[in-house]
Amino acid sequence: MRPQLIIQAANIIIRGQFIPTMFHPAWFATQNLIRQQEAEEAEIKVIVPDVAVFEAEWLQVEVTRDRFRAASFQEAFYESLRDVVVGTFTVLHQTPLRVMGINQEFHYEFDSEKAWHAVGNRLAPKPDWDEMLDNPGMKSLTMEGKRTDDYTGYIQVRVAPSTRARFGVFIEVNDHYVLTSEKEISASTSDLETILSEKWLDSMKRSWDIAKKISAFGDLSK
Amino acid sequence: MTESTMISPSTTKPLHNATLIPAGELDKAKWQNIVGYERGSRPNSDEGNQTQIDILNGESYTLDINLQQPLLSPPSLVDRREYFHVTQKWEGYVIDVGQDVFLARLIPIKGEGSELEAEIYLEEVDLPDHALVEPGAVFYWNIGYFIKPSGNRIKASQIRFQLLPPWTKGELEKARARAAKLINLIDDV
Repeated sequence: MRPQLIIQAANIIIRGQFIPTMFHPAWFATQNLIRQQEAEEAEIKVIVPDVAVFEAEWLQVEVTRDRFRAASFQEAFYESLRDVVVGTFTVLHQTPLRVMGINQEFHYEFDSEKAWHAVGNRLAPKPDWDEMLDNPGMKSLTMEGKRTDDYTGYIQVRVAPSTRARFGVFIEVNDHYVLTSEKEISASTSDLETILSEKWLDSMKRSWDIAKKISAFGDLSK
Repeated sequence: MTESTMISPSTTKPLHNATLIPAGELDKAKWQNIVGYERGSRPNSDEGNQTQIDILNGESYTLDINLQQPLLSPPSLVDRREYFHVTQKWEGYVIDVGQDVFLARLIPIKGEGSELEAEIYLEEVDLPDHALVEPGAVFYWNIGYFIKPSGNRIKASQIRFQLLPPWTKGELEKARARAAKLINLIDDV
């Protein structure tokens, strides 16, 4: 049986300088980035000078003084997630930004222990490890590849056992961009907007393709 | 940059459902100096709770803290057994609007097919977005299944319109200037 995708999420993480207390759901609604009702029904986990965390119907926002993260666990809202981030830094175009990651996470469930192990055995073949360790198993694997576009950064893929299923595999794809240097403040938000507008679909598709390929290592029906 | 979905608590001080309350009570508090501001705490009458008091730049805030809860609640996850699996996704823009339908151009983002034009019933659109349906408006159309724990699948469709921040005065003026320049170029041809 084919592995089942049981959870997926996308998030955008940005390193820079932020003022957490301003990232209130009401601010996002005022800026027409989320619906008024979504803001009113949002659950505020915490909003204090050092950190702001809230959860709306399809959006999670977490901000510290040097890190902004927006995430959605619903694929139907991935483009809206992108729009929220683009809109946020269109309004806050003077925010100093340094790096951005467009990330996707996938949790796959396999129907047997054998299928589950097949993924680990493919990514980290056991014969060499058997000589060094007793009953070796893959705990986590991270691979990094170069970008093929004109941006500075990398593509990183992490695979590990999933905590969400008995025979589960977690795959995370990080599409990392280095934004313009801190000296050019407004240029870094402009770069962010350009990347999110032009590279979003490529990033989503690449992550999907990688996740499907890796999960297929455990498809013993093939 | 790899980041875990889950946030690890950065301090040992628990915080749960904290609410920002201005101008707190300052008496009976134990104070410690932290660079830039002062923080104190006093026990509440509730067992397992205390009030944290912060003074920053002359303003004071009190937070009721549940000592049993972690500092930052990990992001809640969708029930892993039920989720909307998207099989087809388009980005569309509205060409024309009628009484019950609107005409749109659709560009595939996920799934099969090429660009196409379609008439879509207004009732397909999320109710809060009806006011956004006008020529030029951008929307996202997702079609797929809600997959239940039992394995039952419920076909689902969702249309959500793009939300953007309002144009600023400066952006409007730039757009007008650019439009005027383009008109002049066309007139010169």
